[in-house]
Amino acid sequence: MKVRRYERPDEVGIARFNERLRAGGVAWPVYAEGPHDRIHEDVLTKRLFVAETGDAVRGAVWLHEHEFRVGGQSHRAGWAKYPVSESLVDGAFAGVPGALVIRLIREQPRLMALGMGGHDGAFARLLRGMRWTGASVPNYVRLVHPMRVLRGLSYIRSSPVRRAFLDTLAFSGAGWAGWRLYEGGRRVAAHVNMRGVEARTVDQFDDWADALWERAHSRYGFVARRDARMLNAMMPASMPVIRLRVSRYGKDVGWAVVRRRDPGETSAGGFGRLRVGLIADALAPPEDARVVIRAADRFLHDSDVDLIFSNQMHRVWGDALLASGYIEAPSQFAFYRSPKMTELLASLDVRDFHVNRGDCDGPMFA
Amino acid sequence: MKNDVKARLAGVFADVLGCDPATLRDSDSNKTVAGWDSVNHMQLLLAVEDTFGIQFTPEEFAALTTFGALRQRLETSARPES
Repeated sequence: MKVRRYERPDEVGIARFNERLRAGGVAWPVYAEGPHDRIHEDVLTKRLFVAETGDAVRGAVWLHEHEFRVGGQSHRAGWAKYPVSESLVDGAFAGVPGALVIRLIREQPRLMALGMGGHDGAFARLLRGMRWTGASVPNYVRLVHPMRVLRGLSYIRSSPVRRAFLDTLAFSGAGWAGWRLYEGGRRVAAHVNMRGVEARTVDQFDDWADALWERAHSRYGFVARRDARMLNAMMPASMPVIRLRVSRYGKDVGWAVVRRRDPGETSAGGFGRLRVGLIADALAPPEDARVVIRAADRFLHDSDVDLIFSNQMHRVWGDALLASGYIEAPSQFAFYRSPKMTELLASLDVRDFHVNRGDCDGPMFA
Repeated sequence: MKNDVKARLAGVFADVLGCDPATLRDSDSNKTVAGWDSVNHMQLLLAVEDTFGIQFTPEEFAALTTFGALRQRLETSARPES
């Protein structure tokens, strides 16, 4: 077996590989590399690696590299993305995922992975076996319409999602009335002054986002570059997200990226018939985090969603969500870092990491 | 030299997989050694790298799936140059 960079003729092998996966019941195809992957390469490098035996593709993984700030200093690091292996349908290829990750590590020793369905998934277990350090990205949920959520649960087919929601509901302790009391109490206790605050939807990030990045980045122990060029590369205009520019009396205080998933959107996670809001990403100086979260929450609330969730590792953003009546629920969203990346971040606590669903794959529900 | 490599390699197997080093044979693989799954395979080869001060290629991570194949690979790299 050989692991190497993708080449144009691999398109055929990848198509056949995808067919074998589909026949085996695996619904995650490998996407071939194309010119569109090089559009933003001044800030974001995307490279596909393939594992082959003979002339057959047996697996593939993407390496996305870009700039991060650690303690205000610039560092380059990467994400291992969309690993897919023939081992999903044929145990004879059990060595493929490990070989792919080893190849990526040799390319970029400072490597991370995000999501993966939590710590119990095959990829997360493999990374632990390779001495990567893992942590859950805390999950915060607010039920906007608890009764609709209850009804919607019967349509949720995915048992992990269903279980997560049931656990979340159980957290409220006193039931529906208790939920309202809890939520209201948190919001009152953590009074967030929203006077003069406005959240405007924008089509892209611009100079104003650069100014916010300059004001905010050194306030976070670890954060991916989030200036306008990078954000527009990570979340191009074609991506179905809502970009909110948040200001107070006309002065920018931060931004948030949210998504709304309507019933029937089959490509957006296993939420059945629920209307789901996601606060995927946000940036502001820490003192404005609560205002930005409350503005994003208000926007989604007004969009008539049944529930809103957000995965936020950094304590400032977790605290901002709690202050808006969210509760911390079980998380199936994991963050893993390679030994060299762990070394780079050794002086920081995980709650100093600005990591959320805006990282790695970008804003996705699943 | 060969016996030394075999004994040290068996020691790594015992540490990572908890198996009896005295019972390991060249033909042993993930099908015959309990706990030698794809995750432990990575742990095993990383531990072998540390113990023997070598670095496997990504391809070797996928290919070295028997005790004997690992032993031969280590003996080759440990062979003094003539």
